[in-house]
Amino acid sequence: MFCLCLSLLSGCVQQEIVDDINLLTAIGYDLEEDDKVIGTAVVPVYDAEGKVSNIVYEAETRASKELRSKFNAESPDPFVSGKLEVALYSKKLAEQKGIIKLIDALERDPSIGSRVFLAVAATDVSEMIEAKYGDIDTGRYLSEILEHNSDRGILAETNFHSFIYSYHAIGEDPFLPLLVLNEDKVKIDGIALFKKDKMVGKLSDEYLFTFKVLKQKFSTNDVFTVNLNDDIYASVFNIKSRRKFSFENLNEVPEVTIHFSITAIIKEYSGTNITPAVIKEIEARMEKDLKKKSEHIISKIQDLNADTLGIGREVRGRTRDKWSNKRWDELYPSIKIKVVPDVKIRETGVVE
Amino acid sequence: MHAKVEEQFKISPYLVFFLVHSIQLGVGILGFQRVVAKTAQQDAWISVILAGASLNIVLWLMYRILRNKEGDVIWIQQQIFGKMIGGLLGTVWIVYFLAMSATVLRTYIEVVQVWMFPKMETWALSLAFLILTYYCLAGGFRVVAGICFFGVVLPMYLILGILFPLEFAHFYNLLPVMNHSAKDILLSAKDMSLSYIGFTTLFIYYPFIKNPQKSYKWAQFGILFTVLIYLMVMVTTLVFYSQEQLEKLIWATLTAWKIVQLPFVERFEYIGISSWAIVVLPNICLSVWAAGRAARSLTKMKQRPLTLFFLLLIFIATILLKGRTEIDVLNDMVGRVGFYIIYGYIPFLFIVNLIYERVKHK
Repeated sequence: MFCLCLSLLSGCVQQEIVDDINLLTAIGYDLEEDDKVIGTAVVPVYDAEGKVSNIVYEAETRASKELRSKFNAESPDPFVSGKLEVALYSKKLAEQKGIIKLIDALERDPSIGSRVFLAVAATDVSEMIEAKYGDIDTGRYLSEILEHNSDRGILAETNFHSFIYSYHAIGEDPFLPLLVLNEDKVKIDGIALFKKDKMVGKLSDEYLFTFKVLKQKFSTNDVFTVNLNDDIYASVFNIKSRRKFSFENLNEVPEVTIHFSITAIIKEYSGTNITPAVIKEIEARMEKDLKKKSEHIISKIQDLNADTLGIGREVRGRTRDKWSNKRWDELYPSIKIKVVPDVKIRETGVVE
Repeated sequence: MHAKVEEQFKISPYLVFFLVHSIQLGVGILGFQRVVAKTAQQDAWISVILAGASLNIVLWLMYRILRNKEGDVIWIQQQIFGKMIGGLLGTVWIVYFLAMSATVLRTYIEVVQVWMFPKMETWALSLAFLILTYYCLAGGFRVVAGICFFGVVLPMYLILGILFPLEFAHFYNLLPVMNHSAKDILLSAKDMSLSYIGFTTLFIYYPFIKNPQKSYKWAQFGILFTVLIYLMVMVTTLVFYSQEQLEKLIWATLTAWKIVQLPFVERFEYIGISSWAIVVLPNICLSVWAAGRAARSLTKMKQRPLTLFFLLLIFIATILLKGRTEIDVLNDMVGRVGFYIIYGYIPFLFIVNLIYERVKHK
């Protein structure tokens, strides 16, 4: 009976053999004139010696899944999207049209993983996808840049799931990393701020760390440098950061205080001796620096009326009345948001 | 008049735990969250508990009805209501069990088609499954109970899969607690009860339990375990998705599994869906067996040809159902009937039975 089942089950579905399909790893979308979207896809090809080359396909469309049939028309093997690692959207597309319609196709497709990275490309999308990054599959290259930076680095946690989550969340707006192509390297150039699915502004890369501090709890091995005066500076690393909200006057116009506490270890100090007084000063400098940057970020997102930090959602969790999106939209740009940083240096490295 | 079950065909009381639990946990758990969270939103987990708690009472009623009886519900109904009405009610049970198995099978096939093999024909998987079901049923009730046991124990590792999404948990999603009216929470609890149905098969296999009243606590444990698992899944879902995001997801559990990444497997949901076959099989086996057994009690025919006939009916039903909307309607219908059986008919039967026993004693 078991054998009968086996013989019945095998062969009734079309097989897909890895060598005979095109595994798409990165896809980019750009906006053309008259609302057309140009899709660029890259497929890695592994040869017998283990070398990888990338083949790029380009097509023009309105519906993003139609792209696949257009790609198919110029390719010897059928396209499969189950291995997609990165989806890039051009700045123009994100600003003018919004990206949710293109994302819908990814959301609906069960073969797309939730850990796919989405990013906005500040430079030309097709150039970024066509560029040669050495002997590596382009999709993998792009996704690894984003992956290690968001896991351990200074980029706030981001992937397909978290974008969709914040897009649909009440009282929160999404963000995406902003990438630029610099000759033959791709760099994270900051944060693209969204209002719903439209990009409304950006934070430059110097705010990446502070943004992550404001956005989530994390620990990182990346280094944060403080200038004490013109030629003395200190670098701290192994940073652990926690963040907490507190609210006053919740039922009318809320006043928000964001507390964050950071602990770190000194990695580099250009002065002569680290004394407790110096440590105090480093802490104070860091606090001042972070506070300044936080205030810049907060005033920026409030001006754009983009609730990237999810303050609305925090307020909603603390009030019992019916939540009104409209009221919050009107309220949000004018609420007071204070930042209270607290930095502690734990160790000074292995030398005294 | 009534065929007594021989001692060697009976099962130990503790197996009732698996029988009750395995049939409650079917395809429903892959996507019940959206429906339940529709009205109570972040308070949906309370509804899960409430609906679960109400089952304790229903189960008590069932055991009270079956106490000191030597037959199944079909026989009891004929005793109380007489041949005609009792027979009619028995037919309702049979149709209900058949609809239940067809729903489970078709929904599972749909999941496979949407998530894994879009080109797979319904009849192929349905046929394979039903042949397997017949193979299990041919061994009698003890084999069915064994399948239920494995259907609970083997896929246990999937519970780990529920924990992975917690990496992206936002526990503030559960706030504010209890800001929905009692009505909203009860409405959600009603939707939730649809996921819990199925354990009414107990009415049929009760005579197959050794020391049946001893199995009562095991049945209660079974329900408790079901509630715990549903609660776990519900809480995970609520903290993993934002509300509007959840409203769009037909299979929230499967979508949550997409976030799982293991070094040796890129996508966990494929493992999940394949393993789910082991969860679905006892579901179908038990309900088809219950239908066959009920028909046997009713008609005094042999069970084997009846079972074959029922399997054919299910096969045709699964082929005839096409697409999401039709499957949804069927799910909804079976759920609704199950709801009225549990909360309407069983209490009614309980009262009538009480009166019947009083009268008979005098």
